[in-house]
Amino acid sequence: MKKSVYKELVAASSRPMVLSILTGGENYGYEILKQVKLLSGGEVEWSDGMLYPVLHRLERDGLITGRWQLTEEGRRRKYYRLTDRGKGQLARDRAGWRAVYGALEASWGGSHV
Amino acid sequence: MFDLNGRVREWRERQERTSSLSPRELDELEDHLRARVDLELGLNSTLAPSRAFAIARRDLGKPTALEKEFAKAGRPRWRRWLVAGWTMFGASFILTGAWTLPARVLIVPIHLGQVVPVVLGAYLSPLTNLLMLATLLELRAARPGRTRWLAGLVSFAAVVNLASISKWLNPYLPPASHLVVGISVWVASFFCVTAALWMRVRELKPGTLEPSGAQQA
Repeated sequence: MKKSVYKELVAASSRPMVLSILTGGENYGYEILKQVKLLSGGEVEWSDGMLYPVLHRLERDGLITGRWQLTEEGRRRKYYRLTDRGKGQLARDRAGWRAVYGALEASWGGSHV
Repeated sequence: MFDLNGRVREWRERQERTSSLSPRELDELEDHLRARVDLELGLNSTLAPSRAFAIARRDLGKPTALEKEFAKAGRPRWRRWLVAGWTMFGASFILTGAWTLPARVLIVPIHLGQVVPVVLGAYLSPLTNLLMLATLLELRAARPGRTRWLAGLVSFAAVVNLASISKWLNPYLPPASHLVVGISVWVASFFCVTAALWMRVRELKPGTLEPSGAQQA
């Protein structure tokens, strides 16, 4: 079945999505990806390779910060957490997306188009 | 019997050969690959490990596709500095009219019997241009050891060039000319590339590891 959330929308929502997930606490790439699938009921699907460049860009912008940790299996894993700057960005993103969502809902008159 | 570690190692070596992803980026992707294999095996106990690995590898994408995704997210800072340094380096040759420079630099000091300016200005400094060529190799995947050596050598070259231009050659250069501007840009390009290489060394260096108990989430 074709996904209802097409790739442009997925890309646009990637920043608030990652920042929102990290409000729940420190997390690493693969778990974040699983959370995205879970929260969207499978409607928003990121390709595995897409996530890490997004994380690195957010880290470079100072919205999240990462640290390396050795797992119990002896693997190197990078954990990310939200920074204060990231929290501010998330608040702005949330207001923006709510405004867009509100406008669309109003234009549709509450009916399903 | 299927050797997961061996296959992961092969996958990583292929990524190192065919992409410019840094070791840190590959560490993260490798962790993802292994986590995905674990998940596939956990979801389906009858699934062969080789099949689980194939699924994980397929979904992670080809090296070129991965590299494209990383490029979309923006190139690392060190690349921008390297490109800026190289642009300045190239521009300096146009500004100085480099093809005439050896004659102009050589003739005056020889005429005045100045040996030191000749050796430093006309031979040692241009030799550092060869080092600049070597820095182009850093655009591909590199090992931190080699990059550190190169960063050290280019740092040294930058200081030598600055010293030779400002101390020994300065008296022989016409003031406020395009030649002076060109040589200044040439010297600055070395410092720019030096900064890029040290940033690259920092990127290639493995991240500081913390014990697994330190996780907060």
